[in-house]
Amino acid sequence: MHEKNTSIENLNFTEPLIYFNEFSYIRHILSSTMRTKLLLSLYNNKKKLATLRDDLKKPSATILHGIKELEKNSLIKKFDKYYSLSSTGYILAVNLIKLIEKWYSIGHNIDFWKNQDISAIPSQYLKEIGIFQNPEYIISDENDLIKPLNEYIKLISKSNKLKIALPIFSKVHLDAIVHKLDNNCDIELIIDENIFESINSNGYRKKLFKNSNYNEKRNNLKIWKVKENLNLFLTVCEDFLSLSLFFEDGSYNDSKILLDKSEKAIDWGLSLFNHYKEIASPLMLFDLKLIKKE
Amino acid sequence: MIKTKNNNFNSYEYIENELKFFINSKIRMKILNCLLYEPLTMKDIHIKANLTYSSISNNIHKLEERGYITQISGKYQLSNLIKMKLWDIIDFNDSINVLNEYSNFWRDHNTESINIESLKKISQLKGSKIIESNPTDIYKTHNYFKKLLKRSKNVKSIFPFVHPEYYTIFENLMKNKANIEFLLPKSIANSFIKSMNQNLTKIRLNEGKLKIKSLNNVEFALTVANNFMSFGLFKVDNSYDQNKILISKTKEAIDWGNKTFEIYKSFGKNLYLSL
Repeated sequence: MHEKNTSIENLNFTEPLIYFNEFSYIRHILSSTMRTKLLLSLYNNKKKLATLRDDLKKPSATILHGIKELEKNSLIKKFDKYYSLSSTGYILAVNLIKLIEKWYSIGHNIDFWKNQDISAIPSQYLKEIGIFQNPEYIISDENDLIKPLNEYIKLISKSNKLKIALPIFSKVHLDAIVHKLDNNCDIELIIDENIFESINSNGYRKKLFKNSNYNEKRNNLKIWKVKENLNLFLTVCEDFLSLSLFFEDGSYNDSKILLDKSEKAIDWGLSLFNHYKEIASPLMLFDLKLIKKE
Repeated sequence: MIKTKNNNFNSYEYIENELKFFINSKIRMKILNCLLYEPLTMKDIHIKANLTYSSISNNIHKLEERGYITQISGKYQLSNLIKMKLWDIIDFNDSINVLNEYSNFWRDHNTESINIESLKKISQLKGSKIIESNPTDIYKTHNYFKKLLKRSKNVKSIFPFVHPEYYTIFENLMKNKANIEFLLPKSIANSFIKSMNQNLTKIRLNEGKLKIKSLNNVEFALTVANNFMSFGLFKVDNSYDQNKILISKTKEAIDWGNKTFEIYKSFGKNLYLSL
């Protein structure tokens, strides 16, 4: 069933309205290419009709019709032949551009997110996924099945401070972590119950927690344990963020790593890491049976 | 980063068709919205969205064709990508609701001076309320703000001006050992500090319980505490509007206030205080 564009004569920013959840207003804005492009075109610039005509490549009458609609909703104002965004229109345009950028980013990162279990990323972080504007992907190929793993080990080898949410028991990863610890790298590690059990039963307890001579407890490792299964492999450090996920069937996807070196992505990763830290409990030495519980 | 016009047009054109497919049908939006939180059967959708079976099945077919939803043991579920896109639409919708609901607050005020990262997260102000002075209660905003502040433990404020009563309010907060952080225009920072109890101020500064930085071009007022967030704007004529503040006690809004404060704090400069 095709519906016509919504007409919302009575929705107006000049009158406070009660909360509505039928998406009427965004449908009104977004269903029209002209209205959307006018908001984009006037973002940060006041313009005369002639300039808008050049920008939008449409006749004056069409543009004026769109302007009238936006003026009616107090999103655009006219002063001395110049059209500009109102104080409300400006905030709306900022958020419109944010929506466009995020959809654009999702469209460009489609292969990474498709068929992955994203339940490990809480909605408030999913909402920010648009920050991944130009990530790199490390993908295994026929000639190099373990390319993501090798690249990952290479990446972390340069860092001095690592925060890792590790959802898999893998000797290669753990050995790399132990190696980093031996070289005085500060590491914060989040694991789940299963990984904790595997660490305990596979001889990694002492390797991780005591220094290379097994004499003293390391000061450069802090570890947290979450109750639920951890379903994401997240690494954040000073200069990059890496992320890999599980398939929807529950198996770990070792063939793809998202790598982003932008400040925004690192901040996003840091805040997601901290989210997990908050819901996790820190492991004490007696949990590790390295000292007796008093 | 917000891009230039042409990039915006290009990005928009890239997503335009899909965006329109999403929003052009109220029914599709309703169905997608229902499925956002859990997979549902057609009957569940019928009950939850109050739609007829024929309109549901017609639209479900279109959504399946586009790969937006899949059917697993009788239940329809959204694909990851659509879930993410839908979150974005909802966020945009929430932003618009915040603009609409508090239109009195935003309209004819200086919004362009607010940091863009804060504006992008305006949806977090959902659930706020406007406190507005009126002819019979001309100090309503100030009194409301004062009352909330009395119970605060951690306070961060960006003020473009100082109200004479602030000295006493903040002195009391210092007595209660509250953590206080200020970002103030240089012109008022020193006189503000000098007007408070000097001994107490010195002690709290030394303890790190009072921190002050100077900030140029402060064109709004923000206070974020453990128990509330308050936000005030300049009018377009460049005078501060003392008659309206936006107040919120939600976790999201307090989080917004904290992040906004941190952004401005990074522009703040250390101040030499002559005590």
